[in-house]
Amino acid sequence: MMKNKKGQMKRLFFMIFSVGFCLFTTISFFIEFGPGRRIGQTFFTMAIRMLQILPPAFVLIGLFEVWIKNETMKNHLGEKAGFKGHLWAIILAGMIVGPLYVSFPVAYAIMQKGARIGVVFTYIGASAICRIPMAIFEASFLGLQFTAVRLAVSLPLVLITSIAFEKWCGHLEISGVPACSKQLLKIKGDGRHAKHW
Amino acid sequence: MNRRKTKVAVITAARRFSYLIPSIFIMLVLISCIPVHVMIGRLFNIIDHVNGAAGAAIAALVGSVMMLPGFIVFPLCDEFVREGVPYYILSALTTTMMMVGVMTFPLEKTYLGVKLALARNLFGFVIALAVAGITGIVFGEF
Repeated sequence: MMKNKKGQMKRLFFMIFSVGFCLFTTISFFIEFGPGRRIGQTFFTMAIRMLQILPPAFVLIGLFEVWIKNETMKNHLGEKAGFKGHLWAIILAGMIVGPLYVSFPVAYAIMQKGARIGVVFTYIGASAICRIPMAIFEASFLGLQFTAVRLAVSLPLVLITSIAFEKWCGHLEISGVPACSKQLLKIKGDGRHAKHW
Repeated sequence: MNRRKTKVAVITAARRFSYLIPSIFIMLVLISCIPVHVMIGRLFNIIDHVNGAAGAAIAALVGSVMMLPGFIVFPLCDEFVREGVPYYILSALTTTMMMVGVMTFPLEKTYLGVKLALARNLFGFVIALAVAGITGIVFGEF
């Protein structure tokens, strides 16, 4: 009961906040209040960019969840995979296009499919630093040496931290639940994901 | 690959996206309220005066707050190089920009939980500093 009330409060707060923000930007647009106008413009362009990227990503993730078998995932990225799981994660991450916020839902999806937490961490880290299109772009502006040094240092460090992390809080993988929000867990109410939680 | 399953997948995707709208909204507000262009101008001034570890640390902090797509950042860095900004500061800036997301934290939190998200960002910051140090050594800037 208490929790429900808290959620309602949160929702109310969010509604007030968002309505206030929209009012602020529209009013400042009409009275030509410089900073407010700029904030509104940035908000609008960023929102459009995100709406172009995120919905397709979510549909792809949904299809991935239906089409790929849990067994495949567990064999390649799960407990049995050993170090190979990390390599797979790096390869998968290298092929992603788009900013970091796309890789969180993907990471969540592979975690749900039975990838272990260290591999998920490698995936997020690697998708931040070694997306291939981005690396090529970077090398063309800052030189191959710069990119090579950056990758050569950061990739092993990402691997080391995620392996250490797995040792440190591997128990999160078994329960799974503390590692993600309750709001998202509601989705499993349709019973499809209930088994492997 | 049957049709019904695929339909379910799409519907789940839509529902899941709708749960995320609050965190995405907050993230957008954060991004739009922080004046990136002003920050870049300041960064120019600061980096002119402060070099060495302090400069790298400042660049790393700015990089973790800023969130710009690659096609803006790297041309900008090219400009910085021509202005004589050392490479290790640029690598601190770009690596934190890629790995640490203060702005994306509300979104990351919903997926990984506060603890995991915080740990990931802290690790990212430390890794970026290490990368900056080694870049400086390789380019012989110390």
